[in-house]
Amino acid sequence: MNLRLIIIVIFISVAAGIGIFFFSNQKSKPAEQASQTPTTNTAKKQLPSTTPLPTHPPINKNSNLGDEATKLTTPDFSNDYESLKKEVDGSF
Amino acid sequence: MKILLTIFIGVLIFVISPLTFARTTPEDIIQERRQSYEQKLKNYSSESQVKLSEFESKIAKLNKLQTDILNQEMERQSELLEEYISRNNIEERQADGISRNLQDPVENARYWITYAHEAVAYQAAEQYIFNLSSQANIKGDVKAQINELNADMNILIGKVEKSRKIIQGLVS
Repeated sequence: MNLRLIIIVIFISVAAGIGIFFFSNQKSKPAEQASQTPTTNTAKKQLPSTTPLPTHPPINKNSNLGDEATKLTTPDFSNDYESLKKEVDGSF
Repeated sequence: MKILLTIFIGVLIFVISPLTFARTTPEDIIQERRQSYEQKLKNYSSESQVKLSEFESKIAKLNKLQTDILNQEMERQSELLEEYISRNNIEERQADGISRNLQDPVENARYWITYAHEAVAYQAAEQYIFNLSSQANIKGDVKAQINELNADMNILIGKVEKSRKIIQGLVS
């Protein structure tokens, strides 16, 4: 086995691999698009949430940045989970 | 014969092995879980199928609601950082995506805000698919998925809170 033969084999193998990779990607694109399409039905009831969306005035040159930063708080989502679990208990 | 054998071995090493690792994408994993779920769902009563669909939608809506709130906070944090930079006439170092200087307070804040904001976006795109065990345990399977969302959200909130503390420390 000489060096020339080894180089030819490597070149053919890599070229074949690249070709197969792009071909298989082209084939799997419709499957990927299908997986991104939502398949779930829309719930008939609106999910009740006890956590309202916070509202803040826009930040500008007159804003007190320290005060605005202290107003950032983590909403408590625990009620949302508890009420959803209670719905599960009541549904099944 | 030797040449054919060499080509065959070359194809095994340079073609098959990389393809095995290159073809598995996150979408493939979700698709596989979805197919497994729909396969098991066929054995459930039609009433259970409808209820599972409703709860899947409610979990997705809860995820969206919470990530919308957290996204709003991350935008607020970014606004605070931008205003701070503007008021102090700070010239930010151009990020090259590789090196970072977290000793610099502004660059540190930028890094953690970006990290948390990306985590919020990633969570918003998450799809929660029930891992069904049996019809008898349907309630447990749904609750397990709710608990998974809860756990993921707690991790995300931790990242948002870290970013918040950093920006609070910077601007106060």
